[in-house]
Amino acid sequence: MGNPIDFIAERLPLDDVMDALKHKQVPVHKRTIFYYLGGICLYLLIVQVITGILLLFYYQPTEALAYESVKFIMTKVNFGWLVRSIHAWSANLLIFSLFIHLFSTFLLKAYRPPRELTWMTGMALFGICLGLGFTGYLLPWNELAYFATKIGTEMPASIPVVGDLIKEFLRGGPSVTGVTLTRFFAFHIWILPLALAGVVGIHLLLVQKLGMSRPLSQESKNNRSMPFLPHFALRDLNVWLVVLAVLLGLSYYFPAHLGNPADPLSPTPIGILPEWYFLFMFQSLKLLPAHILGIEGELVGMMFFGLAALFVLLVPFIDKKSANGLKSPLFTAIGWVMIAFVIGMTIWGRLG
Amino acid sequence: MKQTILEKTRMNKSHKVRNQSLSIVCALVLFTTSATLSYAESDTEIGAHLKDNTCISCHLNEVDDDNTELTEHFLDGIHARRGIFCADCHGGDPTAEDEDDAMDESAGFVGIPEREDIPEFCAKCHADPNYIRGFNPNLPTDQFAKYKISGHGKLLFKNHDSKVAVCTSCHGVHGILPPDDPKSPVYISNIPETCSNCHSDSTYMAGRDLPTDQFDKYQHSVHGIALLENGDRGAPACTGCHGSHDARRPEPSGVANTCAQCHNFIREMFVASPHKAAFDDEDISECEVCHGNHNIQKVTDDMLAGGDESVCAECHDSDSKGWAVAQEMSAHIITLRNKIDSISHIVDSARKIGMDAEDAIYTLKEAKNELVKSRALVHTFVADDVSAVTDVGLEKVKEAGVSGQELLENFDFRKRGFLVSLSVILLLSILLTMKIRAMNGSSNVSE
Repeated sequence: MGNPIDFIAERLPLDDVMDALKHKQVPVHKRTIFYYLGGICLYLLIVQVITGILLLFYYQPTEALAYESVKFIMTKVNFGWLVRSIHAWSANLLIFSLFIHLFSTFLLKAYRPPRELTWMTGMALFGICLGLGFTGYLLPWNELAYFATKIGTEMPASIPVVGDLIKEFLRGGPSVTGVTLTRFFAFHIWILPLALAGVVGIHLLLVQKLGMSRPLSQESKNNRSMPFLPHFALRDLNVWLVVLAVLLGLSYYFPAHLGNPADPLSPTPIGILPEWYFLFMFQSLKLLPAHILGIEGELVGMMFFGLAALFVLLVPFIDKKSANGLKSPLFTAIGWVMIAFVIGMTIWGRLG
Repeated sequence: MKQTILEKTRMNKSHKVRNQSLSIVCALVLFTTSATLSYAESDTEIGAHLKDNTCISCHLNEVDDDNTELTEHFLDGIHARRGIFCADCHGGDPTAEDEDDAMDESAGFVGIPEREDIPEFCAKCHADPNYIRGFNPNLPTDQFAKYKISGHGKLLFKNHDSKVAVCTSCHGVHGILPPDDPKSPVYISNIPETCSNCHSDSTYMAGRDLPTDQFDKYQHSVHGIALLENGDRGAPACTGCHGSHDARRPEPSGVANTCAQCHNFIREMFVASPHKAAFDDEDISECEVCHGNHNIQKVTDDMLAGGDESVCAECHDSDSKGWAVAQEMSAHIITLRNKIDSISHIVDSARKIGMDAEDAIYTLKEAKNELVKSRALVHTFVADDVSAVTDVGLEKVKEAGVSGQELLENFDFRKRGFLVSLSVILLLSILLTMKIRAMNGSSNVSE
């Protein structure tokens, strides 16, 4: 056997991949900064996988040992506090970046043809990451996580016919118990990551295949671009370094806390809130009256969010103007209303 | 909606002002029904008795008569609830319509008992085990026997001093409530005020060899604060130390036994100590000499030898052996206390900067437990006993200190690590930026 790189290159289409990357161009305009968000999300996802695997060396997903094992990681394992803190902060930053990535893509109308599938796979990734956040939050089995999960898993119960079934499926029974913990663990480390890996692969393939979308507002102004390799890739790398510094700073100054162990027999603490990224939904549902036009308020809220998610998922097919290369102010306005709604409700939920 | 007897009777009164004759009928009807509503547990007794009870109907409807209030209170009391009515104590015929017939001596009417006769009056039933068992088998029947030997009873029966407390002074008269009812004057947290009604009244207590500042002192004492402010019903009220029906001033020799009802371990230590014989010889009341009585305050380490509030100095000269032992005990305790304080500061600093100091905090708690034990062991008056415990405490403090120090060092390590990492990242970022700028020089942007 000669040169191992040549050996591999002869057997795998590496040259084709490299050629594609070498020929890939990234548009240059005043909104180019938003192209870094996808890379940031990918980077944070890699951090999540690495830190998650490290945590798995010590974490024990049982009702009796979950809390103690996390405590052991935080206090006894070398750099355990850092790994867990990075995992927790990286999860929050990932979802924050996904929110910005999603809304910036929406406002720049990057979903228009031929990138409908890129948009839809991105939406799926967003949903999977929310699921990872929700399931991961319970794993330390502390008081806050226990009651937040109790409230979170209660929400689907208002869906007609299948509501209770979904609730019981999520909980593994009528209430949140050790069975819920092992179930969430399975979702968190196997089911959702496998789905994530598949969808990320398709999403990246589509991004490479179809390239970056140039916003409608910039299309007429210039056609400037830069090569992905090495120019944009090096800039990406620089951004990743900044994100790493932010992650380390947050983990050092605000290490993840563990709180008190979960006690299913204790009453729900006053002012218990879900994670910040679910707060806008929680607050909206809280504000709804018990009944709207004879239908249960919570059900109306769930239907609203369901339809809103469906609308956003299918927006490439609904926004005809953008598809035809025309300006689409209505969808821009919808985008800003959604952003204002999410931010407003989140702040209200936190302060109220 | 359910209405109380009191509300019903008030309604009844307003009817009466408008129509006297109608009100009598209404009163009977309302009382019969209201009793049924309010006292489901004993509705048959109350209902049956009220229906034909002329004592109630007459006394209740005499608007200008104080008896109205009296009967209303009575109906809320335990006696009415158990089916015991006026004639059961006062005699007479409650079925007679005519006032003279109802209160005829030939019908056993005794009227209002003299104050001096009240204990015996109540004892007719309450000292009769067979009778009481029919109502409440757990209710003691020795109250009268105890009362007779109490300070109150002795003054009443021997000196015919009718100003002393009798049953009604503490329990009330007609609306007597069970002692576990929070409205009862003998409910545990109401007892100090009930006793103080007489014992804090300097005019009423004039001529007696008793102070009148007990309640003032008690309410600021550890016991008073625990009971009256913190609602700790395990804390002693006056009766906790003096007794209730047999209330009396404890003899010096009995004070320690009184305290030992709760502080038993301390008492055992004291009895085994050299102080016991010395106190007995001098006829000194044990606990009270150092801790006081009604005004017992939270103990401090300053009460030991050398402290500002040293009680040892009351008896021991500074060159005596006893003083030396007290100083030694004090030194052990204060050393442990100071060590705990300084290490607590370290552990707290580690906790405040976000380190997980739970193990160190737990170890410190163990040390604090040893400190509490050592303070109790002062009552052995043996320095070695105290030091044996403080030594264990000092070991725990040392352990917590090492743990706290490690946390602080670990934090410093994290800080250094963070700064080094940040520097490396910054350096890499600068190099990358330089590389990007260099590439910008060679046209990287195409049209």
